[in-house]
Amino acid sequence: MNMKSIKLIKKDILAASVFVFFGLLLILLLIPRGVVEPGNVELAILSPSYYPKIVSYILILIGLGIFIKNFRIGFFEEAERIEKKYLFRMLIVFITILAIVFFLPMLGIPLTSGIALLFLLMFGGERRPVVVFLVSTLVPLLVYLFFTKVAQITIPNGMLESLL
Amino acid sequence: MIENIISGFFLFATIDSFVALGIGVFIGVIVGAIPGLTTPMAVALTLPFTFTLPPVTGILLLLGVYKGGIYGGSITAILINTPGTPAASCTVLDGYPMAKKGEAKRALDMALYSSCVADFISNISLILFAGILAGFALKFGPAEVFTLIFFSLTIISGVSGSQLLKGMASACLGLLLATVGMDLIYGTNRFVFGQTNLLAGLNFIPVLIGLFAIPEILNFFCKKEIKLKKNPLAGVGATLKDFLKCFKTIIKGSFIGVILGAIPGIGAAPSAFLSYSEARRTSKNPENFGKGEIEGVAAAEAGNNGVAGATMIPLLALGIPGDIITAIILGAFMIHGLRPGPLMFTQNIELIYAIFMGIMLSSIYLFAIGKASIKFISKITDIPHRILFPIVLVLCIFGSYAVNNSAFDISIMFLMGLLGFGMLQLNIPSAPFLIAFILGPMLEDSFRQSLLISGGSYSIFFSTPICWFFWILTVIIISMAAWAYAKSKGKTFYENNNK
Repeated sequence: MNMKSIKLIKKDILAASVFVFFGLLLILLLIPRGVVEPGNVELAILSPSYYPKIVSYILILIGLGIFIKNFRIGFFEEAERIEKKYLFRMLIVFITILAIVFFLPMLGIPLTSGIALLFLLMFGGERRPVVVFLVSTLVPLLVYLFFTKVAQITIPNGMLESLL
Repeated sequence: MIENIISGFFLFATIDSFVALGIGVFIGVIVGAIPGLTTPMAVALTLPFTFTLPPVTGILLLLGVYKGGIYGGSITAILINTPGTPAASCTVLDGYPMAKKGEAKRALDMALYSSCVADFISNISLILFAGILAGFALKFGPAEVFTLIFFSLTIISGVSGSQLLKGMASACLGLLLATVGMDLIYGTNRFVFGQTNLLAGLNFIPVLIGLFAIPEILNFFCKKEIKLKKNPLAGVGATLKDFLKCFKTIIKGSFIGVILGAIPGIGAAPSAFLSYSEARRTSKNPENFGKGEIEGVAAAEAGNNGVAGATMIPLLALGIPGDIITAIILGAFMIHGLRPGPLMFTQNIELIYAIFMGIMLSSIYLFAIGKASIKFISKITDIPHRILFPIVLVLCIFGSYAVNNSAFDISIMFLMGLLGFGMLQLNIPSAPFLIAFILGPMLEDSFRQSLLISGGSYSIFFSTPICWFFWILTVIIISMAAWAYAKSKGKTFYENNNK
């Protein structure tokens, strides 16, 4: 294991920071910008922003509570050690997800699924070409046929529109 | 009365009714087991086939789909961590950990047994107590619903384990996410930011799939293959001993389902969570819940299926559809020139008896079809993860799209998946997030409706004995959770100091 790649994260503190940051973001930015207040609100407690505000304040309080708890008890949970190799794999999987979302409108669901399946099967460690080929072609096709012919749901075919 | 029962029997006892009910249950189990295909969707798609059928046969076909669908949701929840229905998300909590331990067949068996028992109890309650329960259900106004849902949220303390504060924060995030979309009282937008796809809010299914299935897939690809531990129970189904151990839990969960099912608009998800919470509270091994406790699966499924017959109570007794499915079934009644309600019990009583007989038979069908399917379905866990997880991903993509025919939902699913993965890395429990997301809209709507009725006075939440009942229960549960949490933290602190 490469010691340089070992990263210790104090999970509780990090989680608490996320909660406090997100709570503040909601109170200061997202609620004022994202919640449209009607002009005729008679009671403040009935306004559309009242409930999200309450929950956001609670979120901040819980975040602060986690900070206090950790400082009071004086120990941190030790995070799992993430190896560089797995960080690299994580990155590849994230890129695959982004690629699926990006190419889906163009290629359609069956083709995108087939390509993603082909890649992920090999990336996951499947080395038998017949299995890779059969699974990556038959599974999307069968699922596609089930959804379109049995459940009568229109599935976008993208560039395969004329074929399917 | 005897004459009416005999007439009802002849109305029901046709080959068509027997076949239709069986087909309905079979379709329901299949549809429920496919993420993205919801039970209301299946019932709606089956509705046109009932137009040409006799009324009893047509209605039994729909009821079969409904009952099969509720059970079917648990299959994928247990096997691949992907609940087919929102209510089955509670089954995930212990069902999937059991499958990971190699006890998928045992979990599936227990889910089936508790589903059938709960379904049977629910049907009996429908037949015997329709009038009483319908009257009780009508006492639930927005304030009572708010206290009930608030009480249901106490389950968060149970599913958070040792991470109580993080679990509560996770629930807050779920509540906030549930507010996205158009505000129902004023019709203004919340957190939409010009994105029209968000106007109707976030759909349950992509969020469920994203939060449970995607992190598991990401975890597999980012780490190494999870080796299943050698387990003597691998491949073994649930035994009579298991069933007897869970029997009390199943009965309690069934009655929770019956009571909540009779209240229009509540649905199966709160019932499943409440039943689970109650089972955990009274269990001898509460610490095992969430780690693959068979009693947890039994409780969730009993609560979930206990509503199946009970949702018919307000429909048949009062003509009020309690959820989308019963609204579709109401449509089927009306297509055949029937109007459910008190008058139906005097004008078409033989038809009511015929439906009751069919409903009772549906429990037997559910058992037979479920048992036959488990034999084959449980083999899914034998597929190597390197093949299974990519296939699950494809199912997730199709399933998320199918809910609203929207590619936007696929993006939401992946986004939720990344959120779930992040939560996993930071040891933030995702179950409270999901529970709050499912119960959140009901909580907020009933909260604001109550305040609208009372002119802003909070006293409405303490105005009836039902409200007080749920407040007292909430205080008891929270106090017990706080006590247990303080005790466990105190123990850890003591142990660390001694080191």
